[in-house]
Amino acid sequence: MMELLAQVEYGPLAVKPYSTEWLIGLIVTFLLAAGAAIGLSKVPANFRRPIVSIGTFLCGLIYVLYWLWPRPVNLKPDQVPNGMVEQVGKGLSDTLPLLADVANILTSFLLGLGVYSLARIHFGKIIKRQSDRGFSWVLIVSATMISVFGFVDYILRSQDKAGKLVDRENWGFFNVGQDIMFDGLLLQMDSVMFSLIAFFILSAAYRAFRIRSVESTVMMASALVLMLSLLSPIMFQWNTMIAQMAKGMNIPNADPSIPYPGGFFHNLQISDWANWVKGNLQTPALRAVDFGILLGALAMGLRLWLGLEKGGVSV
Amino acid sequence: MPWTPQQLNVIDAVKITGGVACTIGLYSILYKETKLFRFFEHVFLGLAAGYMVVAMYKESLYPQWIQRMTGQMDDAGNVTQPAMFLYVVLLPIGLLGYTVFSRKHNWMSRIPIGIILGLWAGQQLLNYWDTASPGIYSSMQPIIPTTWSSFVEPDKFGLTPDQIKALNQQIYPSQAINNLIFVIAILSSLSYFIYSFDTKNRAMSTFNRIGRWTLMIGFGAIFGSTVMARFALVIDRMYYIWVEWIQALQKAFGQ
Amino acid sequence: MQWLDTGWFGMLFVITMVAFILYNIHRAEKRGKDLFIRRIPGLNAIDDAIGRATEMGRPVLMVPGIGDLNAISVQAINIYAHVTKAAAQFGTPIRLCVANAAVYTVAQEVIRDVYQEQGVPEKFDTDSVRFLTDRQFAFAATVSGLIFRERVAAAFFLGEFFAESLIFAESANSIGAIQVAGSTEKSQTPFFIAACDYVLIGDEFYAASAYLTRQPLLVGSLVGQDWCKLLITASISIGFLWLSVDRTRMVNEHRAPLEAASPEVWAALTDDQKGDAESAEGWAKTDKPELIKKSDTFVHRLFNPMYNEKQLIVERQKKPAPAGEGQ
Repeated sequence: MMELLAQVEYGPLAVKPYSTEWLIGLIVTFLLAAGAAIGLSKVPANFRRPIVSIGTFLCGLIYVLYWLWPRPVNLKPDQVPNGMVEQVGKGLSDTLPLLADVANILTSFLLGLGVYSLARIHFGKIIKRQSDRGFSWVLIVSATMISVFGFVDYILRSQDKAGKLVDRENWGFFNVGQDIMFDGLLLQMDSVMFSLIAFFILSAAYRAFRIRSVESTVMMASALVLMLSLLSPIMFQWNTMIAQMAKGMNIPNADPSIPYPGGFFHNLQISDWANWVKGNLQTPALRAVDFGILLGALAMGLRLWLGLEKGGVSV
Repeated sequence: MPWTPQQLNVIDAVKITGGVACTIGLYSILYKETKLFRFFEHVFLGLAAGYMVVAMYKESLYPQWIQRMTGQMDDAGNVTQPAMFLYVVLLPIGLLGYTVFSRKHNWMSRIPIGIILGLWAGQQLLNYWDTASPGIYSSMQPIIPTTWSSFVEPDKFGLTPDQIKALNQQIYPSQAINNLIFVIAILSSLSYFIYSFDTKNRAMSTFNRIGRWTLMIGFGAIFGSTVMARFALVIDRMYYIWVEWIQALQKAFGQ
Repeated sequence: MQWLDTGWFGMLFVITMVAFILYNIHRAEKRGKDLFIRRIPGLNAIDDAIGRATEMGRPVLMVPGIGDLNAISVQAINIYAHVTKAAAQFGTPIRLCVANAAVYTVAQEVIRDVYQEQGVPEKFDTDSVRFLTDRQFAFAATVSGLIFRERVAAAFFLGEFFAESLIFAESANSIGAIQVAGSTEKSQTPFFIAACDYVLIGDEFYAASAYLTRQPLLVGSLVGQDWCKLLITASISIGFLWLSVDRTRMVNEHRAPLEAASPEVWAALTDDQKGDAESAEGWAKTDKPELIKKSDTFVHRLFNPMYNEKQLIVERQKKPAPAGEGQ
């Protein structure tokens, strides 16, 4: 317990929960930020682009600095950093985890826009009395139900400190409802859609096999080898057959200590083919794709960070 | 009031019957888009959208934002995490996104977007080397055999660990040939992704074509290995209907 | 800490790449539009696809993947802005389905701007850009339902797709829509190749906006990326040749495990972990020359620094004991 307490570090920005300075800090920060936001709305048009660009740049800069700035070596929690370089390095290392979820939090705030989009389309259908408005009702009812049941269930569970709700017998109406809707319907539908892919994969493969181009033949041939190697009955039959043949081969001057002469012949086993294709062709091909994609992301990141992109997403 | 085991069985049966109905409803798309599919599609979207709102609070806003802002205390009232009030600044920034509805102020919605993208861009620079370097390093495969004593790697049956270690150090001619194929494969595939150089040169365009074929083989291999995994999912669905559902029905309404 | 031993190599490599990209952007902006880009068939199909949708009077569907807001979705939306431009000219209806709230915010803005730029703001239908849900398969079910109901004539699936890629592609295929697809997820590209008419492989997706718009900035960046790829090619080529020669050497010293340099760590090891080694340094020496290990080569060391921070002890002051807060 003592150790745990010792880890709580207060500072000017990290204060004791629900203390006076916390409340003051919270209100002042909020008012300042809200004031800044209102102030921004008065900004003349030619300053808009720089403001957005500078914001973007500063956010990226923290990561870039963390990347380049020498981080303190082997700094223990109870040590004071030596000098300015180490202090900055430690500051950056401490800031980074705090930023990790910022994008997530902002996206959560924006979710309201998404919900609005969905609601507008479906309430619009109901108001305009379109013929398929029944489905919109279905959607709205199920969305409302699961959000109400989900929230009540969540609150009940977070108040349940004794762990009573772990046992199904003690569940209330809302817990059961949430379980049926989430576990019984939503998760099931997820896996139904996922398994649908199996049927689609068949029809896609059928068409791909019919295309008469060299490239598509090459692709489907390698797919076939891999597929066969994963079909255990076929793989087993094939491999046993090869092993038998290898055993039966009479190799002159074979090393008697080797139990299966004809070692090279073993390479004809389908699992060996599959592994060879995977190891010597699939891996390099996909790695080349990866290099390209990583570079694309790097270049795009760079352009966005430095505010070079024009049109499209930038102001 | 605690549920009786029989009541729980009935609840289970209802739950699994719902799941089976969903399975049949969504599978009907394989025949064609019918009212049945449309019904389940809207149920699905509704549930997903509704749950999304719950999950947003439960998994993102509460643990990532509110808890950090207010700090945390354990049951005894001891502080386990200090309160960082600065997080409140994200609320006005996030709300700037809603200026999209205003003709005049909609540029302000780019501020939260810019922040998300800026953070992402910085991470790319930070992580690039860690992500790319293992690939670059492991593509450097030695192509000169260190021994000619055997073409393929000899059988290690019955050797001492030290001998096996010494054998593993060697590069056999067969391995060297494989490595050469590997290196050619990666270099030629990379050459396919070069856009700004005209490959009129015959040697270059052949190399390029090898690269394209390698890519196709690589993609085919993914295709082949995924097929079986997807069929496992169908089998799982069938198990759900023919085994779990029937068992649940028997439990609830049998006897 | 990240600069220890050969840590500089990675930074130098990335900084060189950044410099290549920035230099080429600078160069292209000076030279203008005359830089060469090889043909990318999937992108030439965009105009045909829109033309066909216009003829049939059916909508064009666009999905920017299901990922978060990042360069991939931004790139997808940039391509869709280009598609929308053509669609706006012909008055072809569009459907842009999005699975992330932040991406939705961006898409809504960008698409509205496109209609404004084309001088037909009244043709922009707010409902044409739709947020559905962030749940992967619910999104897949809804989009495939939409494909069937609205009988889209052309479908674009460019961005970050996962398992749902095939659901989209096969649904669109079954109603005979022209499909242009490309995923940054390499595991999904084969399904697009099997099911779609035109596929962008790997980073052709990133090359798309340069190819379509021929903006000097984008073309320059693409040339810079090519230089970076040549740098990777060169490193791999030098590396594999060097390693090939290096691996034939005999040595009698080896790179010791990390623990060897730190007396603290050594002291904490069990006998089992110590193995044959008598002292921390004992790990590194062998009695007679042996074939060099992969981990002893210089190339290995470049990519895997030998010293790491655990081995270094830096003298620092102790923090003062915490005050009696909260006890």
